[in-house]
Amino acid sequence: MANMRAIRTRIKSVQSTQQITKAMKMVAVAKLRRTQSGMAAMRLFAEKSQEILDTLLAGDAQYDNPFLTPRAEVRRVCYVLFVGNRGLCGVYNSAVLRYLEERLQQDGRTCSVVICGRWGSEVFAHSTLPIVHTFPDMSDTPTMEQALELSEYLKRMYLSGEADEIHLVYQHYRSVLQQTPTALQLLPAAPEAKNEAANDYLFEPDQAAILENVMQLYLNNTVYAVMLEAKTGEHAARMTAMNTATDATAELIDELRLKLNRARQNAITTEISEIVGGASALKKRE
Amino acid sequence: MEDRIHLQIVTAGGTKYENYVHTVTLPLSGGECGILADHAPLMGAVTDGVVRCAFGEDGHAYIAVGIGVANVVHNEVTLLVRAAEPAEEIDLPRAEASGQRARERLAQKAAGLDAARAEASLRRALARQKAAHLASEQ
Repeated sequence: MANMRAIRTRIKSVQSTQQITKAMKMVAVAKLRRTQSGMAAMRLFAEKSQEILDTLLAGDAQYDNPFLTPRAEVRRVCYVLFVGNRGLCGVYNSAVLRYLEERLQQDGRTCSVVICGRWGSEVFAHSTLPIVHTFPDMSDTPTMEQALELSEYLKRMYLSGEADEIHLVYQHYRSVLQQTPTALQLLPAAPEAKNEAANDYLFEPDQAAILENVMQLYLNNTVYAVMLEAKTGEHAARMTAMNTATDATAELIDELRLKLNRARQNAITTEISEIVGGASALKKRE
Repeated sequence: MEDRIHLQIVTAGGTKYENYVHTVTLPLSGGECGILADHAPLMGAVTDGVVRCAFGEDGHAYIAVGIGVANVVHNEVTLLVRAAEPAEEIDLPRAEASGQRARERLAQKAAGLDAARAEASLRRALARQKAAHLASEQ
């Protein structure tokens, strides 16, 4: 009997775990939808700014823009790591961290690391990563304001010479089921431009000033896009992980139910055989 | 001949304003610049300010924009800006408060970078106030 009671308690606890994983999955789905619509809203902006860059960088005009010109000697490199705000999302956080550590080992130059996200403060405390700054307040659905804060920080870092190159390390979002750790060079920027002959554009006040504005937008935008992509990946990973967890708890509950029924059946069988045994003993005596 | 221009103001968060207009005035860094239909292709550096446009019989719209770039080609005016807010959506008391804060920070003679940032935020607040005032005068 004690066995049956233990199994019943076990089933109850697994059921409540299942409720939690289900709820977390629903939350992840909702947040995933929001970040995905953010990514869709950005697409038009990205297309238009590409058009403008194509026109500006057409031909072989050379510009003296600090964000575009690579430095002659790259001594200090900064890596910006995008992690989630919490765990429970499979290997999402640890995979991107491992990727960064491998990059750092291969990189012979002086490196520094900026962390975006709340996850892993204990992991980082024990690690040897050269962390210079942490942005813990990245919300689950990033806003432009947060992207601006980060991108202004990185621009200052680059212009002041604290870093000669800045790379963003994040989980590239391929699909809901697949994210791959990637690094993207933010600064110096190397926007791709088609080499079309410049048409008869008027520039007001001049190309350099426009390029300066475009570069500001381009950098803010790249940071925002990466933030959105990393978050979309995080929510997708959490959704998948919680889905698997919910399925696993369902399986476990089925198994426990089977065990419970067997135990109950056993108890009944024993009881019946006891009664039958007792009855037949009484009959014999008569 | 088409006498209207397709005006589109785009930020990273999506399209903030879109309309077919007769005239549009852009706040370029060298001063304001009015655009009519069939304007020559132009690319301009947009600074914090107010985009004014007129359409239909008596329609006007004012949109506060941040820094960015304007592309004028084939009767299409596309503004890519850091932020944009149509006058109806501007919260005037908030804009005034943030302008006041920026002024105080400037008065304290914040050094170097901080001063530049305070100035930028003051410019943005003034642009929003101006857009709201222009709209309310209508």
